[in-house]
Amino acid sequence: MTRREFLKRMYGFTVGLFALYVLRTLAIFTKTSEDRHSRPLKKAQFYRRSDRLAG
Amino acid sequence: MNKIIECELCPRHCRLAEGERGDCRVRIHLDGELKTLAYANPCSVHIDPIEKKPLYHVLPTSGSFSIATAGCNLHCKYCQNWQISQRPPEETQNYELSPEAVVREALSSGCRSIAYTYSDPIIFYEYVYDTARLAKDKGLLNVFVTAGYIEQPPLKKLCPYLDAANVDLKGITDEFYQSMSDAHLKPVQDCILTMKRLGVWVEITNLVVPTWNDSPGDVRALVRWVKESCGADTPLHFSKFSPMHQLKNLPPTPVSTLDMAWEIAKSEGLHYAYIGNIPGHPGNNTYCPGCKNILIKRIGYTITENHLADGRCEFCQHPIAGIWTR
Repeated sequence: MTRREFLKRMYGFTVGLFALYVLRTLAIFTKTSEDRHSRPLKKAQFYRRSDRLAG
Repeated sequence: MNKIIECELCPRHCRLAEGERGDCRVRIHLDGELKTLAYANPCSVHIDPIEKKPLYHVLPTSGSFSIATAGCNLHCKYCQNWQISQRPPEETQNYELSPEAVVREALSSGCRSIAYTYSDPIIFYEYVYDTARLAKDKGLLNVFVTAGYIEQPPLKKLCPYLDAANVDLKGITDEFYQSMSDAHLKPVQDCILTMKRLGVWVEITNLVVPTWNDSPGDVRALVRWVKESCGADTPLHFSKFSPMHQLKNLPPTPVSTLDMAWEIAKSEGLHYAYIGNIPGHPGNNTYCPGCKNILIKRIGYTITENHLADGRCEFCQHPIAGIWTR
């Protein structure tokens, strides 16, 4: 392999790695915490329904 | 129409419209119900020596299976675990670990307790509750490491399953709690007293922060409250602050300040005062309140001498408060 071919491969590898990093980051930030749960969310204890406005 | 849900777990009483989360970042109003994003979703799972909690009077040298989820109901400026406590669960890397799996892993790794720690376990209450019930059935101790900012009904429901707790008493004035943690002192004091009354072994930690709570007057007031309200046998750990999170402008707590706090605690009559985060300091050791000999000598989390026999001083037979056998 010539030096030029080697550099081309390294360039391709680096670009590929960066693309994977970008995709992974996008995947993290587009998923909500609810999406990440494979099972239904657990109902919490100790709360009550209220007519009062959230504040 | 009841479109608002009010969380009654902690004194914040967050009122949430559909889709909103509480101040803790893990309790969410969905489809007319309050749900938890923290259940069986820990971001930290470690085996620690129980001395790290710190609990110096509970099964010394034993391993404690320690779990935490993201989130916290306090937002302390000096938070030492802010990377997980001040983030929602989607910004931490989490494991799926059911209560059954936690107990199974704790047993198979030879731990004698499960510690709910690192962030504040109050916010993963349902996870703690279910795990603690299972753990108790299997003979494991349940250890709660908390800032104690919880309402009384959930605390009273949980206490029968808790064996020991380290409660962080951050300061002794409401002003300190308001400015450091956006919280109040009274619920924390009530938490400590309720735990003591319901038979939970309680040790108290106070992080001594330069210029915030390190005056001799503040230290003495805190020590007096511990002695008068909790008893002289309640261990009190003065811990060294390291510049962290929003208080990077401050220096670490000088050893001389911790020495001063330690001396005040001893002079006020507390039997078990400790200094934390300074390995090798004489304040790491447990001294017999009777004969004053070193009972347990520690260097960091390692015990190099232990002169306890059946919960008594080997030299003078003075009983030493704590959970020593199981």
